Amino acid sequence: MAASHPIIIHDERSLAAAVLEATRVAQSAGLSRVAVQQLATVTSELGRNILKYAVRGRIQLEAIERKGRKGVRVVASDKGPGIQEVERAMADHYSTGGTLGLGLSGTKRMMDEFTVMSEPGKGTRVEVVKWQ
Amino acid sequence: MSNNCLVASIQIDLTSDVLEQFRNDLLTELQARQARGVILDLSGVEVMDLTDFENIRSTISMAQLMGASAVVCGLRPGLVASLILLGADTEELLAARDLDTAFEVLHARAPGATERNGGSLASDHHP
Amino acid sequence: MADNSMSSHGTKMNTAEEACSLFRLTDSDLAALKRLGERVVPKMDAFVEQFYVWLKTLPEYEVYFPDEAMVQHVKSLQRDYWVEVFEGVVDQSYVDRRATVGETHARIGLPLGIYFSAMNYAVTLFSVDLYDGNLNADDYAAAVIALNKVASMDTALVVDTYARISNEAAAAQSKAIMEMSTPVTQIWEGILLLPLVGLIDSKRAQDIMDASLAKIADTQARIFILDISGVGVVDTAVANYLIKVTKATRLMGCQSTISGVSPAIAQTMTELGIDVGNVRTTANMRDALSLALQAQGVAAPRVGD
Repeated sequence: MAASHPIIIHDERSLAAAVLEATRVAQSAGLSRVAVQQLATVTSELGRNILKYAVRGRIQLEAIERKGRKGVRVVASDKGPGIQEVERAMADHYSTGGTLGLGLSGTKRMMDEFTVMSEPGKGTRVEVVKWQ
Repeated sequence: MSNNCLVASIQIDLTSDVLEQFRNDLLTELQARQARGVILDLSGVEVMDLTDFENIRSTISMAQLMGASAVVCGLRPGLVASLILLGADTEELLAARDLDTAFEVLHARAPGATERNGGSLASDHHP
Repeated sequence: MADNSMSSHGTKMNTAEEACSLFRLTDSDLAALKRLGERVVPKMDAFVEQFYVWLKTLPEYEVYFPDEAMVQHVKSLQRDYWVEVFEGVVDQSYVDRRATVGETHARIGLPLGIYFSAMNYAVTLFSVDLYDGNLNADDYAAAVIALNKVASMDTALVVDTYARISNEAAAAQSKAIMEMSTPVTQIWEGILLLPLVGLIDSKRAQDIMDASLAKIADTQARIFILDISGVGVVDTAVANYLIKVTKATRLMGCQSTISGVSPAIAQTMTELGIDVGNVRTTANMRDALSLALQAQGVAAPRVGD
């Protein structure tokens, strides 16, 4: 499977490009309408976290296949401050008052596979997969 | 008679002194007139920070504790946009565009409050 | 590597030092360049003539050089440009002048391919065709390397300017689209509608807020319908923007309804844990409109009647 070029996330315009690319890759992998929406939303969440916490990072989108099943993998990585407490960041604490959580728990709920690796001061790498 | 509504209007720049004076006057009048409804006309206010907003909100809570329904009206677009961006908690607040609609909102809320206009309180006096 | 590929963002060439450092241009390079200059600058007229012989073979030539006066003007600029190169001084005014050259070329819309080709041909003319052979082998090699560095650096400065200008044009264009993309319309007495299409970023969210509140103040509307059926993605940030707009309109005495919540959007919003609070939401615009008309005391005609 050909991996697309990583998209460097450094402003909202590049984030929009990543979201559009996620939609395209998910559609061509034959994901359902809801799954396409979920993947695009997750890409947007991950990209926004990069902009917010690391300022710059990259998102790589890849159409994959395992045992005849098609899917899409999204890898978001940065060399930012990292997540101090991954467990806590995963907890739901969305509020309408504007104090957003990281959206990571929602991301995990929407995806079939979810891995987060983070080291304080070194950066963060979130990998998710959505299957057909 | 308790079937009346108090219209309170702030027409000068907000300071904590102005707001305190305003609160005292409003609550005193509320009791004296036994008003059931309060309309806060803020159309003359050009700038409001989060502290001012919280101050006004607690004045409203106090009026509600005294049994009155309260509606703010006349907030300017720019002021509203900045309050929201500052994260103001607007959940429980009743708001209307102008005095006329404020009366309508109040009437829908507490029909008794608007049967007769009880009086008005203008806080354009300096403390 | 990925970062270096984006010259206009990743690598700075704002100052002469930054530009020289990026292209490893040293004082000995500049000295070598000066030595070659002593051989070729006296032949500058021949250079310009030969260069234009080549230029005239391009199909685009007529477009960019419509008359003889123009040709003479550009020839003299061309001459000055290369004389300056062989002076071997790269300072701030040098860098600034390269940016100006880039700007001129970008404004007339000269394709970058022609620009690259022209720079490459000029380097060949100076190092091969017009070179008289009167340097020792080491000096000649050093001079050719230096000339290539300078030509590449100049090209990069020009390309940077091209990129900046086209970014500015794109920004102006997207600003225009942005303005068109928040068409808050009064569709009925007291009812405003804003159909949102595409992706929503923080800038656009601010535009939506400003346009909506201004229109509410103008029209004294009581009901605001925000239709999101055309919005590509509703993540937590976008949801937060939308909720803020509804809160703001409420402070102006105008109730908001978010319409066009598709099954996919409803599902992702819930999975993200987004709580819209007491904001009214509907699956399609028709429902929102029907509710709004009822609230305004208008009997809404049912579809199919």
